[in-house]
Amino acid sequence: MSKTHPSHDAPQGKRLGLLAQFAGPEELVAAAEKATDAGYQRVEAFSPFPVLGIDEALKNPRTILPYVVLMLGLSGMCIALLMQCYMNGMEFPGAPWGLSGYDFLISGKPSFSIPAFIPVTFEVIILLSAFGAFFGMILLNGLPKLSNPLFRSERFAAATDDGFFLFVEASDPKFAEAETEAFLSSLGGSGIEGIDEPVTGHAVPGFLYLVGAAVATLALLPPMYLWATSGTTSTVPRISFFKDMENQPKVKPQTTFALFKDGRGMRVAVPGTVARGGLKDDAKLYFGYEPEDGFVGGPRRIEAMLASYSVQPVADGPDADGADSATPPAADQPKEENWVTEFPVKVTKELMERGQQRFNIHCAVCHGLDGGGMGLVTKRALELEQGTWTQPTSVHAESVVEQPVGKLFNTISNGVRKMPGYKEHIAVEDRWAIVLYLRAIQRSQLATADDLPKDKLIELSNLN
Amino acid sequence: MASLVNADITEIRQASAGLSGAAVPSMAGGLLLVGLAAGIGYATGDQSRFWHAYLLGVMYITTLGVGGLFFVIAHHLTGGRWGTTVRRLAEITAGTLTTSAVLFLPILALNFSGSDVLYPWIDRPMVEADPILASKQYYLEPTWFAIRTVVYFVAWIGMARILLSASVKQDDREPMKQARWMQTISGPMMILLALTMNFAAFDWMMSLEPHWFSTMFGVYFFAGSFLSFLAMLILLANYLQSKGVLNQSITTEHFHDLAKLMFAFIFFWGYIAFSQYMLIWYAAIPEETLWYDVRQQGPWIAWGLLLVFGHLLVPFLGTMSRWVRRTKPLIGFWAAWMMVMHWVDLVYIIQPQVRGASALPVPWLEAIATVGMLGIFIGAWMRGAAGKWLLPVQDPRLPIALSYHNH
Ligand code: HEC
Repeated sequence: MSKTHPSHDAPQGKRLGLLAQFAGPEELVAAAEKATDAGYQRVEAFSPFPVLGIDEALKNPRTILPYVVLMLGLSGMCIALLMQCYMNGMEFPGAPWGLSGYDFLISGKPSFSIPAFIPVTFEVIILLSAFGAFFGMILLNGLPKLSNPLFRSERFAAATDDGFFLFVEASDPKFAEAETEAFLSSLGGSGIEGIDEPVTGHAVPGFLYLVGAAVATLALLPPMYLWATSGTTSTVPRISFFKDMENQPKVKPQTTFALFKDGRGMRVAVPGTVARGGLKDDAKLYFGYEPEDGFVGGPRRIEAMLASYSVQPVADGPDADGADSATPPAADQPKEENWVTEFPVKVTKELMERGQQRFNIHCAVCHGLDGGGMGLVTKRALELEQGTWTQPTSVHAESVVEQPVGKLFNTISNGVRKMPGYKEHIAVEDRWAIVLYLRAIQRSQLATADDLPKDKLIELSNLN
Repeated sequence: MASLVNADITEIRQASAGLSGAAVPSMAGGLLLVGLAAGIGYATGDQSRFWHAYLLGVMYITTLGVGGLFFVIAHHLTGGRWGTTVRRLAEITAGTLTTSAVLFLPILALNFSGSDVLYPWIDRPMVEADPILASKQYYLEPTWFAIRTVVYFVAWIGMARILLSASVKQDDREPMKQARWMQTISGPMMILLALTMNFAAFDWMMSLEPHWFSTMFGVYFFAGSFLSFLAMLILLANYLQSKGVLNQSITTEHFHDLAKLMFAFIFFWGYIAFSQYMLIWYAAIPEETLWYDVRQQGPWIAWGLLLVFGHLLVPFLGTMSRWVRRTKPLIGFWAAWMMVMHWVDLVYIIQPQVRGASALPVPWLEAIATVGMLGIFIGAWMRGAAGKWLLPVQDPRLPIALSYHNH
């Protein structure tokens, strides 16, 4: 025995165990069975392919891997649920380090809604279970391992080809060099050899670890530097990876720009010109009121426009306020009595239908389809007992019914008290269409028998 | 273990021809119970509930049959080995689809009689007046419905017959040739089965609420079918072994495998059921939510939770352990559990659609109808098995299957 690596003259290391070769898979299983029956506990088998029954023969304890996977899966579930509860449904105003969280309202679902959390939870369970299975398998197998003492046996290479080996470890309580060797050969093992621990002296020199640690630490410096400078102010341009994306040569709205004398980034129109579509010369159509002096376009409005163009930013100081107060009052606020009472657009059936459609889209959410004030948003606000919610005025209220069409038009355009204006969302013609439809639903609530054609009236009175 | 192929055969491998006669009491008892349910239903004037219970019973045994058919086709298609030992049992189960087809005839007759107690869309004026239903009126129409039903059953029975006859032929001649033939046809059969199962689910159960639609419903139906079939197969194997049948051939390894599949399909069912629920819940479109809305009233809330826990979470944890899967009485317990839960699932799908009645508290009428149907099913199974080998004794894969070993 002890015919280890023939060319190996170095001093012998500790004995690790005995390796014996067997003729085939059946012999291997039989030998393993006998060895474990004889009381050996630390026996390992090596074969080129998985051999049926070898696990039972070796009497290895079953792997704990499934439990590792189970535990990781369960942790995945907890992590995912807690994460989503925190990220989606909790808010701690004033919490430090950006940990305040944000309570999201998504699709009107509750902040904590288990059904919505399940897909993510499921994925995280799968992720952690897969990690558990993969890395658990690697670690439990003692990997990564650069070398195995068994590789020092020349015969052992056959384990990847046609060799079937049994290895009895020296740490086995029953292990006794001579007896074990005799036992293995009695089982039919051939070429029995002792395997020794590699002799020290071939280990990685200690200083290399130091060098490695130093290099790894130094390698962290550049990214740390970038990270630190990205959030601090500095007089020199910061280093950035994506220069052209971080600093784009463009002027953003509402910013200053040194190239122009007045320093404004956004330019004003050239005096005396009006932007396309900005003229709005028909005040009745665009604003819903009769111009005071017949001057189309409203003199105050034009004045205001021109004034805003000519006002240049004043350096600073007391004059700034003076300039502001010199600006005429906003032109969109006409005096009460000038409201248009006739529609400035042609009243047709199409316009009425368009109005109905637009009303249902833009107004019904708050005002309700019948204009009575119980739209879905209102209902929900009342349900949630939102103190800040003002219930929309019913369009059938006398104060509204009395209003001239121009005033209604103005309400839609600029809003009234708590109601926001909609002129940015709804085109001028559509706003008039809505007013027309408003008139129709108001009428529907106030109709009298006289409003019906004669024949319909007779038909109805015959009904009961 | 590996030597079983050469061991002395002490097990019973062939069903006696006298089984046909023994099937009569079971069938008669089953018919009696179904008749009793009908009597009660008509006597109490609750026809709608009876017909839903009847459909429930038919669906219960049909899902077992279709599940068996899927098992056989999938086995051939994947070149499965371990399944060879239980293949004949599955083939016989698929053969019971003929009985399911006969039991479906009264439903077609009910439709043609113009009664809308089961399918609301039989009421034509209602359908035409309802804009959603009006757009489906050419599909949900008694004659076309009957034609489709016939097509499904003809396809299934045809496939089951072809596979069973090839398999039986294999028992005494040209085993290799038959094995190849079954493998060749299994591909097209799988496509046909997938399509017919999908549409059968839409027609028979989804159209109980004709407004509603769920593109996932066919898969849901499939998941329940295959799951219940696996549970039935485990129970059946357990029972047969207690009678000394196939107790050498069906080893712990095969139980382990069936249990693993059942475990997987418990989860698959949950995955599909939840996906269907979540998409509908999230989008909250009235046409889709109405189905769940009905099921979230009164006792149906508890019934739904029973499914979540009883059909998914509890059996999922219960069948997770390898030890449980390899211990016959335990896995038999979970198989019985799943068969009950499959019924609970079908009740959840079908019974809330009973019209006129408020949600039912105790589903006893449904239970009577289903037990009756099961009696008929067992009778049909025995007739199908009579005189046959219960193992494809000459199949080239049988030796591998017998010595099969899990890792
Ligand atoms: C966001 C909800 C909301 C929407 C959308 C909305 N309104 Fe209002 N509306 C209100 C509220 C709130 C009031 C009452 C304001 C108050 O009294 O503070 C109101 C008041 C009114 C009034 C009465 C004004 C008065 O003089 O008392 C009219 C008319 C009206 N809305 C018309 C409309 C029309 C037309 C639309 C569609 C373009 C519309 N509203 C869209 C919330 C809404």
